[in-house]
Amino acid sequence: MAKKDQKMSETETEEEETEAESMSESESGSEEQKQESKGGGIDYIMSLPDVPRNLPPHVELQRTRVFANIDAPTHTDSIQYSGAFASVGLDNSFRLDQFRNNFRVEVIRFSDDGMDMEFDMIGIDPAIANAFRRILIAEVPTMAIEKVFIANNTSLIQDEVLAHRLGLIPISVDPRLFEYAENNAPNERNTIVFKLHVQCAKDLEEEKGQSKKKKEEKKVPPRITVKAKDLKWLPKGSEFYLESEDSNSNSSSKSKTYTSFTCSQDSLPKFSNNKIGFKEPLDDINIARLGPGQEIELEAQAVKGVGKTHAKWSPVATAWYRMLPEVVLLEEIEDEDAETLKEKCPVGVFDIEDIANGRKRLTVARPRACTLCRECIRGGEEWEKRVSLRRVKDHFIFTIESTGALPPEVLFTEAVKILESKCERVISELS
Amino acid sequence: MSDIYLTNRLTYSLSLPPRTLSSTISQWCCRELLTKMEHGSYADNSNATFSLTDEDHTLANAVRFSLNQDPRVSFSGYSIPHPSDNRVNIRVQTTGAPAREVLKDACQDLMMMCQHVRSTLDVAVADFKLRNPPKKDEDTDMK
Repeated sequence: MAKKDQKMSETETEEEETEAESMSESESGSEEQKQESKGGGIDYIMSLPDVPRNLPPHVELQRTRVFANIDAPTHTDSIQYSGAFASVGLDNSFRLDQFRNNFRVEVIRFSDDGMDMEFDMIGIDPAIANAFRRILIAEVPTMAIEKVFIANNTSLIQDEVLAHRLGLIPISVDPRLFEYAENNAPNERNTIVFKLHVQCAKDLEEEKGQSKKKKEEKKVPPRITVKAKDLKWLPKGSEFYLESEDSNSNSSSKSKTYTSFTCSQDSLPKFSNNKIGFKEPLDDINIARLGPGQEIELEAQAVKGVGKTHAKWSPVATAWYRMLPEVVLLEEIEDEDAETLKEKCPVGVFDIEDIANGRKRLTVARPRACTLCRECIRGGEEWEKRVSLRRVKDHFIFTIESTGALPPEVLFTEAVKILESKCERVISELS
Repeated sequence: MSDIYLTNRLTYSLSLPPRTLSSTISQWCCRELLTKMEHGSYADNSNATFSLTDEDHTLANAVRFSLNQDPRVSFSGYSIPHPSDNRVNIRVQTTGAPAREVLKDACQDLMMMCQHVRSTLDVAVADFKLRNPPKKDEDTDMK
């Protein structure tokens, strides 16, 4: 800070000199200069009258917009290099205070269950927005079933297919409460165990001693649909005993199971009042269908992982962004042309308003709905001259659909934290 | 008694939890610099290539953006030498400042941006929820 202050005082004295020299300048102009020169050397230079403040309008437009022309989009690149506009005397380098002033987030909507979210991120480079998106999909951890111990499976679905299906079921549990298993033995801090034991009644059994009603129904053999809600959480860990232990010691010592839990998970305060399981709409996921007499008995172990290892650990169904569409009418469009153009747009971007004398004028009512299908600029050069379709380069409409482990805003926060920790790692390795 | 099936490849083969990351920095040897992620020369430290393991476009592209916005940088870019290597090379050439410091500053800038993004989002979400109270409280609040 002290250094900055010194600099400031220097620039101020310099300015006084220049002021004294150029007495012809109007007073208001020099006052303006004084106000803007606060804050250091670059600001002083920027405040000089012959230094351009802004890019020429057409270049500024190319810098901030993608143009969706009839043949191809143009000006699609984002200009990152600090000296990109050096030839016109403009500084394009990054300044944190500038970023802080320009950056905005606007939440557009949450779905009723709070698991989908749409928000606008304004004033950020695609490199960073894309990093957030990539991290959301591939690097924010969740819990998913990784190991399946099948004791019995007489259903039609093969063991490995069944195991794969189980892996893909989203589990509604906060992954931050767990550790990565790595090579450790499964314990209460890194593993969730589920039990699945379902059996479909046999045809014959039902036939034997059932009432008349049942006998009438017997033409339809019994069927069971196994759902995600049939998976029961085992807070005390596995109930399957290891085979070697089983044969050696019958009842003398406590046999070992496939997990080594030191305590029951539901005795831990973090799980005592929210049971691990499958949330309301997600508990209805089909796992298998059982015919008469078929049975599935298994245990599944869920562990923490990330989406880049396997998509089952991805915490989002999708996370995507699009740039804000901008529809600009280059000339007034009235009457018949207005009607035609309104009809042309398949998503209803345009509206018609009445002006005086029964005339109608076209307005752009819903530019956000525009998909840039370019239907409105097809049909001859005259249409291209009427409408311009653009995208705003630094305005991202971000959508996150969570699979239920964490709400989307928390997921996004976690993603940003992961990017921070990546940076931190590089810094610490370089120091 | 029971068959064991893995639902996919073993976890620890690919996903590396944060704790083991520090040991994964490149072990290449280049000139005098051994077991470092920086590949350059002692004579001129303004140009260097940094080899980051277990990183990809996610970090490299963001850092490249941040580097390019630094006026001390004359060139910066990144490449992934082979898609099946978990490695990314970041090239930094500066107008004189040590490349290592410039890269550190770039990461610092990125971190500051992230922190600002995080706090801005928190405010925006809190504001939105205040204006539109959720119908079902228990669904949106995860404890």
